[in-house]
Amino acid sequence: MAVIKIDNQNIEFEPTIEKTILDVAREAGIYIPTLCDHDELEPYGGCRMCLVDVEGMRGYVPACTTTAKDGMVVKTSTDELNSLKRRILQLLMIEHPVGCILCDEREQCDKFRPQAQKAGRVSGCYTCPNRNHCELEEVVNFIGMKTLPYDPEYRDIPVEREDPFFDRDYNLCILCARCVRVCDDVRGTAAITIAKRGHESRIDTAFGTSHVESGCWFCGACVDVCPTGSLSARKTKWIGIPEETVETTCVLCGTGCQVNIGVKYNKIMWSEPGNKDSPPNHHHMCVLGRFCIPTLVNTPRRTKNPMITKDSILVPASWDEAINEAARLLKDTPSEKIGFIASPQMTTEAAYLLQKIAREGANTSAIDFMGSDFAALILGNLADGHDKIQTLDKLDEVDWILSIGGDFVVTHQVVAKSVYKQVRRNVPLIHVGPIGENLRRWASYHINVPIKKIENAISKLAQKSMSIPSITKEQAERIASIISSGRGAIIVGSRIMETKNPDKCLSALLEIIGREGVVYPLLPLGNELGLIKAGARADILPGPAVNSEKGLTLGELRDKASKGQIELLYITDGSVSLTGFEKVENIIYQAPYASEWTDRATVLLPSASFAEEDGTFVNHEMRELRLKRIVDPPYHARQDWEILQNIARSIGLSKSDYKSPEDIWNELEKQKAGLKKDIYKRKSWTPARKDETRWNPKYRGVAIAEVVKDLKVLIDSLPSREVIEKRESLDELLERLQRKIPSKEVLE
Amino acid sequence: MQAPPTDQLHSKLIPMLQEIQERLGYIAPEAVEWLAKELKLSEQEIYGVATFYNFFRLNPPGRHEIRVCLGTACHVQGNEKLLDTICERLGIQPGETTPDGRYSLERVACVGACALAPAIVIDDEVHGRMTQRALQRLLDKIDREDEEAMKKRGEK
Repeated sequence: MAVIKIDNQNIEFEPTIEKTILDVAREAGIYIPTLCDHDELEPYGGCRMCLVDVEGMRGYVPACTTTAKDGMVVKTSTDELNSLKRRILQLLMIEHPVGCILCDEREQCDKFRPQAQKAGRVSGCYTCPNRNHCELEEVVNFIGMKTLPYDPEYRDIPVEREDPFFDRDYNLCILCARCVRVCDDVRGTAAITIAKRGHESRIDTAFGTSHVESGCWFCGACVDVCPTGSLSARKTKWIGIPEETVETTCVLCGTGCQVNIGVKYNKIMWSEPGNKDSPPNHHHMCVLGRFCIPTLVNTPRRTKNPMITKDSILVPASWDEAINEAARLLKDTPSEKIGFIASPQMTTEAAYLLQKIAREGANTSAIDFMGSDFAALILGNLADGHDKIQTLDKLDEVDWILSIGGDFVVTHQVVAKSVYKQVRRNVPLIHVGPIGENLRRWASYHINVPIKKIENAISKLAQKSMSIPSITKEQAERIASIISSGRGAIIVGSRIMETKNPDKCLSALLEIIGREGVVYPLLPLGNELGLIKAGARADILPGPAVNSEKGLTLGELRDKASKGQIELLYITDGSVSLTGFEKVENIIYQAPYASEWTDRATVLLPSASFAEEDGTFVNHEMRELRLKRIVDPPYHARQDWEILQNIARSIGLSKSDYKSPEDIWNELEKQKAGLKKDIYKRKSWTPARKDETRWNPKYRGVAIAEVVKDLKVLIDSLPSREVIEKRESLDELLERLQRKIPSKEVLE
Repeated sequence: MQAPPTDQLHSKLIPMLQEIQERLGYIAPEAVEWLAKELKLSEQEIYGVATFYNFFRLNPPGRHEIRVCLGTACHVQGNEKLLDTICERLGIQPGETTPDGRYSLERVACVGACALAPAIVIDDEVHGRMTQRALQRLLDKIDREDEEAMKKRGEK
């Protein structure tokens, strides 16, 4: 233990090279103002607001970059230090709109004067998107800057609004470089940089292109770290502060990020990253969770009223009528002619009830959901214990990473961030298959084969063969020596299903990582593992356990339906394609969104979206995460589990009086788990159309990009981001460019 | 087992930028794109470095390179006004090249001709004690010479 004296207070601390004076002061509750410092980022020493006086050291030193040592005597505020900081801050504020900060009427204005807040140009705090919480203002108040002895200068840069999702007003920028550092060091994208230097420096992309072109993923990390109002989410910058903020789980992919949902006027208006200590995402998000949720849940495409078909027209009905009609259909249809389709984006509890209605009520195992094959493949092959599936934090302990089956930077940005953390500490990353811009930079080795041929490459890796396509023999030797030692991690994406034999492919992968290794299955849709646990698949019972009875998979169900052998389909996922199901007579459609199924429905049951229901979500780490009901579902919509419980009651299921999702979860937990290896039938999956393999996230019947237009801009730009490997040499390039120089023509 | 250090690749950035500038005369956007792939960097990272150093130029050099000295002596003698005049006449900002590729304009810190302030360097020839009128005459002369050269080439 070492002792340091800060402002006459003796503080004990454990000295390490990384522990700075700022860290020690913060732990002891002593405030030192900072602007460029951020707890996720390396110390930068840019803003000079944390200067302190250390006895025996020359001049003043920044607390954020000075290691705390035993016996140091530190003063955080002396008269001279304060006046120095005030002068630095004044220089900083020359170019930042300071009208409101210097205004004498500020206090009166705060209290009494209503403000016009929405403005094209930000001239002071009142028109700033950050007016409710501003780090710069905190520092100004602490240091006590009340005058500006220089003429203020407005930079007069037009606000950049051409890119989707967020606005950039660099007139407010103080060049703390937090955005550049988070993009570069934490997310590994480097879509922005500090261009030029000195007085001319500014945040920019290469040659001033748009963010879409510069490779930005719109994860919003830069918006979240910006201490000023320079970067602000376009949709929410003018609507004030939330009345209430609740942390819940995002279900738009298998990561299960914690997201803070802000509510105002009983509507969901904000979605911001969850708290810093909430796993798995730790205050980081992807474009879907950060910017798309409010638009998605408030879209007019929501289903609002229960409806039933009368005289071949869909008409509004009461809940009782709709439930009774659904129950009648379930009772009257012969069990071999009923099919059920669950949704990977519903809660585990709701899925459990749905399979219960299927197995106990309708007496059939014809239940499946989209994407169940990949989830069953993973859980089936890892049946001998789930310790292979680990949390993302465990990546810190691995020695190498092998990724396969898709570009996870596009589909799972939060996983990508965790992987990049390892890349930064020089953990080798070997990628097999097509590759995007970020992975190209991150991967130590890239085995460049089309997705169909990854199986071959993987089996060669497993056999330690030295002739691997697309790489040299030396590289193959190096890869072999990397993967034969230490603890490995495998990031496996769902496009592995496109290979001829996904089972063999996964077995080869498991052979490569051996007993110690860990697997991160990147589930593309959401709660797939929860649904497997709930038994929402023909060959799996709740638990999950093996079902020896015969049931129908989604493909088989579709085949049977196209022959006219299915009379009743209970579908809870509008994202499933209608093709093949046209001949089904009666359809019970239960979903929060209208889709192509709506018009075909005999009974339409409007359900709640994930922010409006209670339940449990199981993410790709097998972590059980809570969904919380934050607002009421719109109009007459109800939560899935409530609807399903009412139907269960109507058809007379033995136990159907659950009071809450916890009751259902407790019942599910009592089921015995026991999966066996290699019993599941799976076929290789071939996309019907080429664009089907493109990332285009859907949520229960609605493609998110259809509702959120900004997302469409990003998705449309994705094909141009794929890396084409063939390159010219420097000589060829320069020769080509020489011909383009205009002055050469004049010269010759 | 460690990954091959990317630092080794990244440390090649400045030498390669220098090579490109030497052979091509400037850093073209296509060259940045090429370098990004070669060195496993993002284009932004390269652009940040290339704009930080004054040495690198991002526009093709013109047929005539004009350097306006803004060192202490030239600054005091009002060279800034002459720079404005050139900007106005050529329609470009410092660091840019005219669309016809004839002139490129740069501001430099000191050309070591303080005794001749204000000084303007055109095609490596120092023109000292410049005035507005002398500057206009100088540029007129270059224009005329270029025109004649073009004509001659046309006749050939």
